Amino acid sequence: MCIRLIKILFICWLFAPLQQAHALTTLNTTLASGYHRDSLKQEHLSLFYNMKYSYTSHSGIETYLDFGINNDFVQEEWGAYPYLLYLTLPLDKGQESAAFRKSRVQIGRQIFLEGFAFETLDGVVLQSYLRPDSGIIVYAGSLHVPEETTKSSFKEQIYGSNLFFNKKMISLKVGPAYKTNANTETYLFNSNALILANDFWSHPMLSYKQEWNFKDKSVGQELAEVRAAPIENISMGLQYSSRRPDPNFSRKRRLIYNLFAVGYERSRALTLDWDMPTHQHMGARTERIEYESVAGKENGESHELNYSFDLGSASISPSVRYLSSFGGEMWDYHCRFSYGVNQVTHMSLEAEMSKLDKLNSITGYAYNARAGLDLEFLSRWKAQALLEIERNHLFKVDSRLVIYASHFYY
Amino acid sequence: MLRIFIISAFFMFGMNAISRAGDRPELHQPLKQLFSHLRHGDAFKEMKISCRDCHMFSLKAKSQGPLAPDVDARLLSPNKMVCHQCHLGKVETPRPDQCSLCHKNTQLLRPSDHLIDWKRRHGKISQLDGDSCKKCHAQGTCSECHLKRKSSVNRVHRGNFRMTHSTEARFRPNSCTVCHQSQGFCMDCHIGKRK
Repeated sequence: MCIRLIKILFICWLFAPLQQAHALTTLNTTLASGYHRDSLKQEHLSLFYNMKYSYTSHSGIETYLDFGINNDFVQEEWGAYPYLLYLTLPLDKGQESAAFRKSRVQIGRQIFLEGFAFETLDGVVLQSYLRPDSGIIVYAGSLHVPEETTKSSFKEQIYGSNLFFNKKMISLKVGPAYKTNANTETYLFNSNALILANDFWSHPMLSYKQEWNFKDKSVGQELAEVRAAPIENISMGLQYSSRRPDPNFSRKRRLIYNLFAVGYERSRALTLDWDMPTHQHMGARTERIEYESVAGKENGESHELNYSFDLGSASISPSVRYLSSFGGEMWDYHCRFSYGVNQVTHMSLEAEMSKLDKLNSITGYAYNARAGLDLEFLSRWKAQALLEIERNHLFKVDSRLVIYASHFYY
Repeated sequence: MLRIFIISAFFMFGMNAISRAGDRPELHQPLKQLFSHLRHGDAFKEMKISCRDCHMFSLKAKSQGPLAPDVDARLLSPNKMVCHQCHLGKVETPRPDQCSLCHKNTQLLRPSDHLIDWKRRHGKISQLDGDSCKKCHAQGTCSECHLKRKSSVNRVHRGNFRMTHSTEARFRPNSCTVCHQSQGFCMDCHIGKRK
């Protein structure tokens, strides 16, 4: 069965680029294979195939497919993953200055970003521009988290609409949503606002997003952020968030969250970014999180400092992070170096060291190193090799080697 | 101390001049090979674009008369930016990344607002005005990082995540449920099904 599937994949990959070429078609096919040795010193061979295809007919109807098949060697399972598969039917030709702003209906599996969701939607989304800067979005379908891309369950459904407005500095999106599961129903009202004053002193950005739950008559989730650049190239931000998994989820789906927390997870963060004119960037972030677990109030802290420096085609970016939670404490040191050797060859090296002191009395160091090489060996053909080695409390050395070959067609 | 500062400043600005030299976004092929009049014919007809919209035939030699020199053919070639007049405005080419249709290193084409802290900010802007992203990107760009299950090149989690995940999950439990909601997900490793 496995060998037959490999043969089919290989034939697909081989013949895909031979289709008739024209500017309205885009195709990117990648075949990857690799070797992996696990903690029990068992050896595995992996295979991964991915295809991205888009075609726009002369009538403006766009077909988009992003599809993968692999034996994900961490999960040890074969699966076909239709990440995205949708048709876009245009309702107008778009604005003269921006053809991508057009009224349309999108049908199929697509990314869904309304409210607090970042999921895939199997359904229909209608986006209609009533004016060049405003309009309405109406949606209906079934939501899936990324982990569920192999299944097509319509148990959890969502219906709703949003009015949107984007003009100069202000962007707004408001509208109701109705979610239904096997036994539960939730009525929500989403509001999302962003003020981005790039022309004003310090380029302030204010953003607020809220999910109002009609059933509980309370704020379900909220996210607020203030950001400004008081000195040229230095940006500072303050962020507050209050999040929790959708209460409409079944207990099974909330289990991972409820292992650690019940109720809301509230976080406050301060960020600082400095973009130096010499292609250097420095960033710092400090964050404190509070939530209630079954045992009582818990909190955690994270402090991170990162730096990057680009010099021509080379780039180096070291970072250090400290994190503490009731699960323990950790220091993480990371450095990435990438270098474009020439027009067709690109290499990258990555190393990470973590020092841990865990709740279960495991203390010690973990190491991870990756090396990658990209080679454009022919026009539109790219080969990549990746070697990863890690060492931690479970095994002395865990290694994997993956080779990719990609064909780009447009 | 002052010396160190002056040397550092000199080094930083000096490096800047060197690094800027490699900033030109190169094309996959020479422009003449990238553009085809034949393939654009139908689109130009539909959009009522005439030859004079791109080529400047009104250029004349300095001296006139039958012995006047010909105008250099290179001057009749359109400006390099003329492609963008359609491709970044009037035409939505169905590219997962429209800029990579012609340009090799699309990193150099990133708009200025994509540079500072963009990784943290891009979600908010794409949620409110997703169509602004469509100028260059299709949904496949989001799926590359947010949906793909390529554990062989896992870039979602850090390298030592296998050892650090218990501490990180207790720091921000909600972040796990964004992708993992099956109750068997943790158990598969912790009972030894996955190695």
